[in-house]
Amino acid sequence: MPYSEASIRRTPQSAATQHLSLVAGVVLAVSGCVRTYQPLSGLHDPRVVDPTQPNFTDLRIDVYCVPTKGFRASQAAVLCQRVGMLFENQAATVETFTQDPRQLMGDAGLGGADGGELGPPDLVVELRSDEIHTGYHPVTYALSWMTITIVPAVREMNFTQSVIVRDGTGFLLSEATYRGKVVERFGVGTWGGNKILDVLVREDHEDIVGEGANRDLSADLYGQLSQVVFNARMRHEALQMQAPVQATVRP
Amino acid sequence: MMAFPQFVSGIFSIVFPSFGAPGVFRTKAQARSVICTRLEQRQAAQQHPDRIEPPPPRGEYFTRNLEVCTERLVRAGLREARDEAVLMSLEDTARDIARATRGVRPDLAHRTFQVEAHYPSGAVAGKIRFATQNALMSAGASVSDKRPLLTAEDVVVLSQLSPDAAYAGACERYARSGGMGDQDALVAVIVRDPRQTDLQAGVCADGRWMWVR
Repeated sequence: MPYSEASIRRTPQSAATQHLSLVAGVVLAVSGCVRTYQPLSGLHDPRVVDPTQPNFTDLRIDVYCVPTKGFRASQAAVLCQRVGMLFENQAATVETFTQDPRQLMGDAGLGGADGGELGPPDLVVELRSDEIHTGYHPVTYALSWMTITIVPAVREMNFTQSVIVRDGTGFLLSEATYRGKVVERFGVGTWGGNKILDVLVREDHEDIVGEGANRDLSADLYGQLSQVVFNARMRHEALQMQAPVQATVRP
Repeated sequence: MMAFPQFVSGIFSIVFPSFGAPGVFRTKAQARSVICTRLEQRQAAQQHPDRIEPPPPRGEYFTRNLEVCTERLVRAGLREARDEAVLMSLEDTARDIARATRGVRPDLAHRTFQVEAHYPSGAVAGKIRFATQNALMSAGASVSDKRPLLTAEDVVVLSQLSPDAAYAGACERYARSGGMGDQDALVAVIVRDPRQTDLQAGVCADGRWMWVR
């Protein structure tokens, strides 16, 4: 045997040390993830509606979150739950769907006589999320590996969030598309540098390390959703107010 | 001439990807001050021929995407949020109002349209009125700069009605008082609630009020 007893005994310890260092490295790199959010269009447009106020009193809203190829049904269900809560907090009565409510209720007009005990909803909000681009920037991964994560590895994801609001008969009231980008930078260097800037230089609302990105994205998205649904509500009310006019064309 | 800046920007995008996002080089406020669109190289070259070359006719081995960002016209916070929201989309809104008016009341095609804007800020109301007049003219309608007038007694009565009933009431009074003739129609552009950022519109003709948007 070329190895002494002592060296044989040390081997498992070395493997354990290697594993530990690998785990520590992964934990360090993962814990050094800095997530930032940039609104591209629509999400940071000015809005007036305050989502903490009862803006949808006496309104029945169906929220339909459409699962897509890049947006699984489970994710759609979570989005629906959150958006449902958003409108409930504004005094609406909300029902959420991850399948088309028109098909579930067996009619083409989102309501009607057999549309449930409560009848058709006042508004139907259809939400569709799509990931339009994901960039991994392999050069930064290589640089990050070579510099022990001092140079960050960068990954970015562009997404769109479309919202369509219809009335209970399927009439289109309002629609909007919001675009945004989430950038993740991994590494000790970016985490440490940004943490130092957060503590020493940046104001609290400008802090980058932590949950700021998720908070900002939620505030923008839920604010815009509240605004577009409120605008739809005003249109719906106006169209409900009038008796149909028989248009006559003069010769 | 264009190759060098493109080479530099290419290197820059590799070394500093996602430069526009908040980070060491940009604050969140700076990142929020621009409106960005993701374009393919061909689209970007059509929109910005001075800065971006079109892709080679035989194509490339990979697809380039660009993010084109434009500064907001007015700094955030300089105008009221509702004014800013209304003015940002005013051209589209006015076009939509003109299209809805022509679509919902085709029988008014031969009439002369007058336009009123009911908005809290006088300056913004003027812009809304002007944009709507332009959109109606672009849609082929005859537009007058006149505005129908009400008597003081009418204003007193109408001010006691609910806002929604007041529009129909005013329309009726325009017809009865002769403020609007047989060949006139009125498009009123309205904000009914201080929380809405969307303009609504109604048409008044022959004393009958109708919401079109």
